[in-house]
Amino acid sequence: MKIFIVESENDEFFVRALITEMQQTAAKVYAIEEFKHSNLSETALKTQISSALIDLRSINGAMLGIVLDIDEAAQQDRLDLVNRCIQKAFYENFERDIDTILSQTNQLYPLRIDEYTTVQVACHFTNVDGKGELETVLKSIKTQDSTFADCLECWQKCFEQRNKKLAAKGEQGDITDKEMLKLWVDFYKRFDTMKKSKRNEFSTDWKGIWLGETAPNKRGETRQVEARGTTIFDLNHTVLNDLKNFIRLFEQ
Amino acid sequence: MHLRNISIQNFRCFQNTTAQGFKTINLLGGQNNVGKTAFLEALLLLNESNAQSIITLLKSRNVELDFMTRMPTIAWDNFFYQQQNSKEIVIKTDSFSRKWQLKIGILKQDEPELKNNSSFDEQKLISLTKELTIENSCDLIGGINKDGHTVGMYHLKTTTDDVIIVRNQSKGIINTNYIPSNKSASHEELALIFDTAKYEGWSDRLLAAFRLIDPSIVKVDSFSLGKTPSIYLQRNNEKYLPLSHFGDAMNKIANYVLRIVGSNNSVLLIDEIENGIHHSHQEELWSMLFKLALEFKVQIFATTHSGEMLNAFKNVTIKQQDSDSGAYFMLDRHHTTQEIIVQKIPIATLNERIQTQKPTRG
Repeated sequence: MKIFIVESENDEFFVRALITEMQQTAAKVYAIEEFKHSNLSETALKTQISSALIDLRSINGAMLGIVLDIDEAAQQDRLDLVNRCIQKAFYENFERDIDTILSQTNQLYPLRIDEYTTVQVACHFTNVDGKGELETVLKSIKTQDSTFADCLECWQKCFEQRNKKLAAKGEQGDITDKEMLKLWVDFYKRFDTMKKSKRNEFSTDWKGIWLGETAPNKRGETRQVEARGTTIFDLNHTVLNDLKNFIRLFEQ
Repeated sequence: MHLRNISIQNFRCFQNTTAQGFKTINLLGGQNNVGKTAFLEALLLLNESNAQSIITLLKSRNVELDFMTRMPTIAWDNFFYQQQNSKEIVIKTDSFSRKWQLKIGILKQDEPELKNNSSFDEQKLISLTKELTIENSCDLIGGINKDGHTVGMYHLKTTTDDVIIVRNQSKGIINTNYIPSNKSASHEELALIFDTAKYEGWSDRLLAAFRLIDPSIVKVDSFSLGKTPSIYLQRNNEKYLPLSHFGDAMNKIANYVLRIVGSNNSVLLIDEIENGIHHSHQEELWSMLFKLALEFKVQIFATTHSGEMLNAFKNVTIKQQDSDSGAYFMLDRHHTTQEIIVQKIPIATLNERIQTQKPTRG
């Protein structure tokens, strides 16, 4: 059995779609939080690792993959974070320390729970040229014209002329580049890739786009929709090679 | 807190199981027949390693003492894992204030004193035992063949390494109250405990607990109107009614509260704590138990099947000032050895698993 931990539900849907596209065996995917916040919560990551270890404890051949966005962090900082969370989760679950340290990404390390149970653990940091997050990847692998999304650049110029500021991480500003990126992806999926007549809450839902069934709305309704993710994004793009190689580790 | 961990070998369904990380209040969940009740029994034996505990366990399992007489050679087999009575039962702990190991084995030897005894009862059983101390062992007569042949003898022996005697526990015993799922305390027993609590000034705790379920109750007292004393409750502008006339929840709450306020520095074991408690009162019950357990320094172990009770426990534990005061353990079977695992689930993890509908009870 294998479990992947990702940062948000959107990441979860994407990873599940990628696994299907790669024709890999099914895996459970646990999202740390419903929506991604600006900073990854260490407590939330530790809790998710703790939960995954509880599920994997009862299984032979258990594997755990942790997929986080690199954002603007240094790789070593992210590795340190993952190691801290693994160690804390392990101690809280099993009341003992572990020696295992993940010193590299994309490599499996054994986490020994008892004489008969070892969980193979690895982590991967989503990035494009060493930075970014899932939306950065999605922007890189778009397949269709993105006029509406690209015109957000003009919107940016417009508000900057009016003394509103785009802020990079750690800077003061009125809107962050991360928010701009999310807007770009939203505009692309909503305006560039859908005809006006077809746009509604169901057709623009990420779960529906990737998996063909929408998430429940406020009334608890779900719907079967066309899973058009592989049409509007290229899951064979070279940008995804590292992530795919990471997922292939878990087919051993 | 008395116990931090326990190791159980060859007892009931436990071949070799350890559990770590106990807190003030500990809730255990798991599938049917996974060993939750047996776990409480192991705790009882570890804390109060004496003949009375053995009898308590026999009674709670509805074993007739007459069975011991009729089948002496197998009288004790059901205490042993897969009835392997040639191996000792070992239950031990290595906690802050207590390092204690209990071994239970079967000895078969003649007991000349009993050869001519043709009857067997509980009182005789007790009178033949010695108080268990760390210096000497307790011989418990298991079964007596009426013809006076070899008897099965349950020999309780303790061995200790570097034992640290808990203050006021010079005999190495932690006072432990066990509330089985299928047994109610007698009203007389509850009334006697209540009288002690009233004398010591703690009876208001019981009234406060009753009012969680029924706010119209204004007084609680004990009276001996018949042969035996009973607890009576009074609602506003009404006469006193005996506790037995109130619902199961009230009787259970009386039992829980009185076992705590009547036994400072003790351990309380409750099997199937949810029985009789409506879901709307479960968080209040847990809040009350946390408050009393901390005040009277009582460590509580309880089992549950109920998802609602588990959720209520989780909610109350999160709100405690010391969020470390409660712990949840899930009992399950190991995938390879089939041994019972006692898996601690941290409260934050439990919260996440309940919210995302992941399994929490095996």
